Amino acid sequence: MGFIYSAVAVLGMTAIFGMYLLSLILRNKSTPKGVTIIHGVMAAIALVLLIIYCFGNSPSPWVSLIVFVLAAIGGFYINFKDISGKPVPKWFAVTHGVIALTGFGLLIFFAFL
Amino acid sequence: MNSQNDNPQDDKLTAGKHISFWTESESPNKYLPLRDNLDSDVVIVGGGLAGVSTAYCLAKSGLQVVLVEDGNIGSGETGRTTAHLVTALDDRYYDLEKIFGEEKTRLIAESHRSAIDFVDKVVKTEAIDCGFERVNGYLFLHPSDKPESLTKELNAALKAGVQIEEINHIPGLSEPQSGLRFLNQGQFHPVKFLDGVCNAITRMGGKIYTGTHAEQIDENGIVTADGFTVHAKHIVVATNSPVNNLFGTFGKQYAYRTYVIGALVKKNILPKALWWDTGDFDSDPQVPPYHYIRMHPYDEQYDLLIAGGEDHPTGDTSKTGVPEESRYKLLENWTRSHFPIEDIIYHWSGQVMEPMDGVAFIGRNLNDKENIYIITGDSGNGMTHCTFAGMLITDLINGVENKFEKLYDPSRFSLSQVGSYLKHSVKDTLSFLSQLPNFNDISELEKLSKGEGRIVDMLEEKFGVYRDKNGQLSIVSAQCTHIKCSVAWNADELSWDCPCHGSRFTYDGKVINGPANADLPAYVVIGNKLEKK
Repeated sequence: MGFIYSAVAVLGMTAIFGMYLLSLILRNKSTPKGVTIIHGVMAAIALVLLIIYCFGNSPSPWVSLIVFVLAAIGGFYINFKDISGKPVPKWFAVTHGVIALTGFGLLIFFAFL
Repeated sequence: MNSQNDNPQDDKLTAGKHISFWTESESPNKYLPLRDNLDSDVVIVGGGLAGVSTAYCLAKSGLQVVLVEDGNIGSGETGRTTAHLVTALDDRYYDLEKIFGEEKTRLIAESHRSAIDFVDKVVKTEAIDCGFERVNGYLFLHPSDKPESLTKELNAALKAGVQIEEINHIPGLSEPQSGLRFLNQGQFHPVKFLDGVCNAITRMGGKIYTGTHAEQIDENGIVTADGFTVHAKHIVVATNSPVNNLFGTFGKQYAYRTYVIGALVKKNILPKALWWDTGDFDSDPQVPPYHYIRMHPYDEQYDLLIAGGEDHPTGDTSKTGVPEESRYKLLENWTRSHFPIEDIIYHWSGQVMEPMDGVAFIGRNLNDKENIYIITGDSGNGMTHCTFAGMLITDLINGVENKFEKLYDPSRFSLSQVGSYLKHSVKDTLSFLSQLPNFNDISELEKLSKGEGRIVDMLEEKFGVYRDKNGQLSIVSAQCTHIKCSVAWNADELSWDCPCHGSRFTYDGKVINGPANADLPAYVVIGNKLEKK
């Protein structure tokens, strides 16, 4: 279970940075790229931990993993829009956050309940 | 003393505060801005030496050309060069031979030789009074370089077919020194040359528009900032650093600032010639910054000695700790120790795009449509690279086989340059990582004194703030509009320079150098908040 608890911890921190980034987007402020990178790298680490757990254990939180992959694709899209100077659609950023939090909730449910 | 471009509305004249001797002695040509939708065979973006040479060659081949330039003709880097036309290249022939092999190195030398011949021919054909003349060039050893490097260079250059010889005494230097003589080099007044070539283009039916910013560039042509279109079969982007793609060439070339002084020398005591040292290997062993010198007639009493050097990566002076505005003093000290100069009457700086393997990127844009071409990576040999580009691009557009096509292909990638590529990628990442949250309020602005510019962390963002001598504030976002790296203040040219890929902006945010193609968002203070202008 070490991998899954680590994934939960890293995802929790990722969520804090993500919520800060979302608050900036909603307030029409530019996002500090240092935070964007930290958010993205932590999310990637958590995803890797989760993949390792899923392929080595049964039962596994496959639904969470799929939801996080969807969130990651959304994250790449937001980042691309941002660095190419195009406005990030607020609804898309909110949806990205909601999807990621859904995955996080499912994972906590799987790990602790 | 040269003028300074302190007027914020006058940014179209030149890419920075200082005005070069070339721009002051010959005002860059102005044409009317584009106010119509046009169709053409080719549209060229950029009115520097590369764009104008390309327009000339294409018009000469019978094609309809439209050239658009957002400043004036030659108001970018062409007006800030020192205009050496050389086969003595920025990179040593022995290094090029290691990267490209003997056969391709011969082609490299041939391409630069053909560029000098091209300028010679155009000057004669179009009767352009631009002071073009053939001169010899002299390469001598920098104290930090190994003595055998001159012998290696002589041997490699001879193999490449360069006209070169070893000499015991280089003319003009205060201290006797041996070195290499490159024969049949050239020099001219670049802005006068452009004026003459532009006149020839319009005589052939070509159309030129200045004050016209190409905001959107794709396979169909361009859309200007004012909403006019030029629909064309072929598109050539000749903007020093290409402004038409987010990813691509910029990762394979690195931007450097270079500094120039113009000093008076008593008439005719120095020969008309070009001089270069081999570069300061203590300062940067990978890209050793070298000094480059030439003569130009000034008045009845004096000649002008134009010396350049003291280069550093754009937006980054951390290696030596010498800020931009102090580089001229270093250059003056070096020049005084080598040449009998009197007063310094000009100083300006320019930008060089250094390609990862020393050879420019000229041809079809990588990862793009077949009808979009770029000219970039001029290195320190912009005059020859840019004029050669005119010939090569014309052949590519006309479907004529050209033996130089592969050599200059922008899609090439050398495995030997991976280390350099990774090093620069780390630098980009560090620039991103410097952007962290802050919770300072707007009172941070009060800490800026008159004449000071710097990055200010406040209101959860990074801003570039400049307070002019009258106390007037200019506030812009500190995120480059290319891919959002953090810009750095250049107190010498009063500009915001991006250390990642060399984009530059005036102090009030107007873009003056790619790869960025949009202005930095500008802000005004409203109460205790900032609002976008």
